[in-house]
Amino acid sequence: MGNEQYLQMFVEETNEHLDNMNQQLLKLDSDPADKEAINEIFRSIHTIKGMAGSMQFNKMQQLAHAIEDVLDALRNDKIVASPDLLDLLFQGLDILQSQLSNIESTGEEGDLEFDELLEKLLACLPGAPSNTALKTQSQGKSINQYVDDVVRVANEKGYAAYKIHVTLRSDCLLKSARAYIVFKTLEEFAEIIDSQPSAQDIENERFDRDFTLIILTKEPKEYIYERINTVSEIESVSVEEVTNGESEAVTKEAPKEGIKEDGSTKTPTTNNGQTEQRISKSIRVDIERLDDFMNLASELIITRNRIEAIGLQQDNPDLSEAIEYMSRLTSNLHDLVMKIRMVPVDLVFNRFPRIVRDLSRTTEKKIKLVMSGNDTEIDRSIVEELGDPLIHLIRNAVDHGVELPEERLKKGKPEVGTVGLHAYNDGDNVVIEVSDDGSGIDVQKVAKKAVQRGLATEEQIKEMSDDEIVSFLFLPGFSTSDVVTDISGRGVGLDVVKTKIESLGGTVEVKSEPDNGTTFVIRMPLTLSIIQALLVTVGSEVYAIPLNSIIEILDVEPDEIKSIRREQEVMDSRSTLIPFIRMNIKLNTQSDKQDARKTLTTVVVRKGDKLAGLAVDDLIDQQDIVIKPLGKYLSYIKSISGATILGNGQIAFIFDINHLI
Amino acid sequence: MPKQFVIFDVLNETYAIDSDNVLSIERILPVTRIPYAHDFVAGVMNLRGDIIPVVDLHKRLNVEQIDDTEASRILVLKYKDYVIGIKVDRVSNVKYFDEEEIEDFDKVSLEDKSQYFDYVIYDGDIMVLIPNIPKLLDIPEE
Repeated sequence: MGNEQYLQMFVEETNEHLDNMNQQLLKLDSDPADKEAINEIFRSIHTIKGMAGSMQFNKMQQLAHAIEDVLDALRNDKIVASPDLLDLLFQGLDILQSQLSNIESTGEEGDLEFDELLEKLLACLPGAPSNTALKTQSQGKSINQYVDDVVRVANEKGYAAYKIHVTLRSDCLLKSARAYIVFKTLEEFAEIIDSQPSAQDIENERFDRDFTLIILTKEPKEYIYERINTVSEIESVSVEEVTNGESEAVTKEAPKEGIKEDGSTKTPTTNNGQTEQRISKSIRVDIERLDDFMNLASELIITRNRIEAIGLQQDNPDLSEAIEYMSRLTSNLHDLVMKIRMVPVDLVFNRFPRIVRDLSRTTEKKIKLVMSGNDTEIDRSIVEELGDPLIHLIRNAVDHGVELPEERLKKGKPEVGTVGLHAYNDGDNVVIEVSDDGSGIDVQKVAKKAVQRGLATEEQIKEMSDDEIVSFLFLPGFSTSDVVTDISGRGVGLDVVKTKIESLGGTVEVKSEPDNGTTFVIRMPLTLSIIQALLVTVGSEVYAIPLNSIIEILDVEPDEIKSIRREQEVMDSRSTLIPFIRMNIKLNTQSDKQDARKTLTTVVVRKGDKLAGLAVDDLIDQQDIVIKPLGKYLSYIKSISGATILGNGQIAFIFDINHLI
Repeated sequence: MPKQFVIFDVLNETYAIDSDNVLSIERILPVTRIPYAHDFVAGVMNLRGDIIPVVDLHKRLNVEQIDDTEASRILVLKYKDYVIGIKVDRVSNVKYFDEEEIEDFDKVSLEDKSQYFDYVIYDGDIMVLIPNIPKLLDIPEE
């Protein structure tokens, strides 16, 4: 088998099965008697073993085999799923995962040693361990009870069973189509009771050149041979009669309902779980292609904006109409690309149950993880980046948040602490909350630390709200934990979380109540590449203000602006005083338009709960703009999150409101 | 093995940069000022849809400013993950030099106060300075 070609598929499918195992192991962890979970794990590990074998990843296969043996014993109630056994299985899963990622990056298995784990796994088995000599799936000699039963019944009714091995010519182009014709031909006079690989795999061209079928028919061997030979592009055919108890080469679980007596011509498909069925309705696309696709769509939007600008000058109704239509099409196209790139947050959420389980075992805290909104969708590139910050917050919640069981009981709380992970949509944002019902953040302790470290004076602290004090936690090197543990508290942390989230265009806030717990609220944009923005001019320069941070636009008269201690000007917005920022000064432009004593166009923007008024020269328009990164060289300019190219080719910078005010 | 260099002028001095670091040589494009950037950053340009920062070498080398001419060019450099344009007065040549011709700069002159230059080549009677790119462009070393 040409390994190169199948490697990617192997990696993807094995990953899916490992994910599935992980989920089912967690189910088993909460309910050790969950038979369905055991069966699921068994099926997954069995498939992994088979695939690893056929790809000649012998170490993976060996480990998978040992795990399969343990699962088999579990399935047959010979052993029970104790937490210790589950630890071993989880370890095995980790090793398989790391082997797989090694295969993914290098094409070869890692040289991880896991003899100890193998021994421990085998020690769990009742009696002597089963032979560790390996059987690969492709040559598997296990006798399938189902096929035997069917063959016996058929023989009694005068049918004979044949094993047919078909090899297609190596230059055969449409392998699955050829195989389909073979199936169709056979179905005219026979009943196909099993196929290897499965009918579904054959249909999806997931086979090399040959396949094996077991059929029931009253026709003689020669007739079968001739009929198949009429199909073109076949290299060889072998037909063997199968007598009872000799059926071979069938290892996949077949449906138990048996064969239909009415001789329906429907091909029995092997039941291999829902995943396979889902795959047939979707295709895998390389993420790079999607990125290219999106870039092209983005360029198209820039060009559209440009054509729109030109069209406005032409005063031609036909042209305007065509442009308007094109405008709608490009918007739809872009929405579609975005939707294609959206993936459920579950992609990162699904590893947290395991992490929380491990953490609760190491910290000896009892913790329940409650998740919701796993199907909330967000751009793929954001999801990938969210993993680390979320792990960090969850570790914090377990380590700093939730108390030890004794302590909780003393406080009159349930012994088991709850860590919550909730995702939901809020307008153009996705919100993810990480909460715990632990002791909450000790504001006094934070304040003391902040003063100690010279971040604020005692007087300043007195004027601050609790939320403001708590946000000191996001400063680099700030930790209130008295004990540095393995898990967290080394003082590197929340600042990294904040930086990461902000680099993705999101925000993070913290809310805390003593003894009621802490909640971190992460707010992310749905997508990174295109946003709606208000274009404004300051002097001769054009800037874009993201629409989702704009509260309102006001005309401010000069006498409405007051100044505090001659430093900061303020204005009145909905009866609170907010900072008033003259953008021409802030941006150091050569504009003097705002200095003239007249009404100032002011955009009120929001940063978390805080507002500020930005005085600009003029408003241009609201537009969909494509965000282009400034690049690494200018990454020190925090107030500008990127640039966009306007219809006329001019560059406009996009404000990062979080840093600007 | 001879190395290929792009030779360019800024005011009266001649400089060379290893052609491996030069992505392209562009005619002058509109440069948009960017607030909060270092003073030697002229701004950014729209290079076929990408936003590229442009460094004003006159400012960086602390020499007299002159207006752009027909001969002015922007050299687009690539150094590690950084893509940066530098504005020069003239690109005169692309030339191979043998490694023996490349001399350490401090052997020749101790007057390089800026410390931007590592090597020097004598091309006939012209002294060609080879800058240390991260120092010249103030790229933080990792």
